[in-house]
Amino acid sequence: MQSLKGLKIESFPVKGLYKIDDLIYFDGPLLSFYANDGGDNYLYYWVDVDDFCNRWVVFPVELAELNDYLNGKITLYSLVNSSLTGYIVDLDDDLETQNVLLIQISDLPADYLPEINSIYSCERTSEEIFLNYYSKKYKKGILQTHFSGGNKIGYGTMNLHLFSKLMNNFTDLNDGLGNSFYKTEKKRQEFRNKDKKEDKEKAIRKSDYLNTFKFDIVTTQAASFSVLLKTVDQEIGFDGTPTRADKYIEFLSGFLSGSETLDTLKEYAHQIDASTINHYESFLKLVDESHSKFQIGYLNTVSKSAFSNQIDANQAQRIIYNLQILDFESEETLNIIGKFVALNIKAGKYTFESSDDKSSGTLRGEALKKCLEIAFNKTYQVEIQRKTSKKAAGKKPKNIDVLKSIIEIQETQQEIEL
Amino acid sequence: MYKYQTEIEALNECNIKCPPEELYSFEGSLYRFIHPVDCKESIKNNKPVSKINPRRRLEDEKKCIAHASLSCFESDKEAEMFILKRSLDNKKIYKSVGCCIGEFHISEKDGARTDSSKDGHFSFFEYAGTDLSNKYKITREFTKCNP
Repeated sequence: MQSLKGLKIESFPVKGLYKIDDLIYFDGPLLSFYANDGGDNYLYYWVDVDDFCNRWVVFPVELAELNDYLNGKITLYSLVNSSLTGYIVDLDDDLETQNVLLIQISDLPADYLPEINSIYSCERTSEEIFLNYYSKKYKKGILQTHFSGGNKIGYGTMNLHLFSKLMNNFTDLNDGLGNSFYKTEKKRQEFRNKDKKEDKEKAIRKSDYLNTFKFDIVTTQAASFSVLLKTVDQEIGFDGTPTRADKYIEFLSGFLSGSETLDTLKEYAHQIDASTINHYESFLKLVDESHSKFQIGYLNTVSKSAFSNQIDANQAQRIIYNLQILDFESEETLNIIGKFVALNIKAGKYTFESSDDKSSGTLRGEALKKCLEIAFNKTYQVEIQRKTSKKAAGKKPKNIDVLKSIIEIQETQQEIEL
Repeated sequence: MYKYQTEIEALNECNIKCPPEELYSFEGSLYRFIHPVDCKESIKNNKPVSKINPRRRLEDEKKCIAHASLSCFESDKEAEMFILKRSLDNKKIYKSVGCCIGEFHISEKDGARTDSSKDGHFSFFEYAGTDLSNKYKITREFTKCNP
């Protein structure tokens, strides 16, 4: 192997690097992406071989530049040369390091550098690579929402108005689907426990599921415009065993793809409340009107769960049509804490508001008897039976609420609950 | 029974599906990179990459294709296109994978193959007893080959 200008050092100094992915692979890796928990990101770039060792140039890389390279915006030549220094590492067949040199990239011989037109042409996408990167970094599932197409989305930029409207509706859709997922899981568990006399599963609580569908923003990324989100849920995953968050994304993914087929959508409609359907329709109208494409990608490298979906303008139109001809009825019981804002005792009608819900409907049974004691400045916990129905021909879903019980919450109780 | 059955079984024990997909026997030509016989690197010819010393790897390979199959192409044109693209990134790639394209004449008894990807690449799993060393002719030699 040819001798090179550089400073021979004892060992490779960057510790704790783990492999994110092979970016170029043919009969073994040719360019591999490594990172460590300290935030160092390195590329191993294969340059030579002799009878005993393979030679690698190892150099630090900025994530934004790596992303540009993977999206064909810059060449491998530019990427290598963007680093001033790097290392030559000779690895033998047992992966023992035989030689380490600290080098200046500008001192590398020409045949150790890529060609000037070395545009990335392999199958791995930047989305796959960065999902892998962030999932390995945070050791949990990462959700990518990706917007492309239309004239309001560019490489790494997006019209704020469109973005905020899309994300608002997506967030509301996500919250609604999250609640539906919890209810579905609870029903499944009740079904499993039904015939068991002993060893019943511990009842799942809503509080355990609240974080399942909550996300924190990790970063935004170019190509075209992506937001990477990590699940808030702290459940520890295991190889091959999906977490609650993984299962929720499977539910979300199943709903998005299922909504393209009317029969599948009808099955979901029993589990999903009307406002969620409305937010989904608003979201799809935005996708359609902006001629954009929406994609989600999800990866949990610990549990090895992966899902992806995409909805373009044409698909959005089909789903909107399905939503408009959807005819469904669902029923649920709500327990909410808040205050009465209107009461018509003679007609048996009420309006009740909590911090995140509002209900108007009819008083029945115990609630009707108790309504004479109601004060507008007091806080109550109420049980409401909500029936949602939606008839075909484009009408919006309608809620029919029946208030069944009223319990006054004392000031001290409120403080404890808060 | 495959030529690298032991390796396949070891991977299966690690829950790695190997061979990776449904394979099928075929008769005809396949193309792969080789070193000329008068070159000392020719001892690396027609071996899965995990059998080539020193292996081009950065950690333990647990890929089925690395242990039990040979990289092949549907045509010499596709093989050439592939290596030309790769050589833009890694100028010495010929030194590692071979500087010639060999056309191999395969019978159904020699092995089974995967479907090819859009660039014409596929994996060939030899059956036990297969020896490809006398079944090829060189169709192209790259000028950059100077091992």
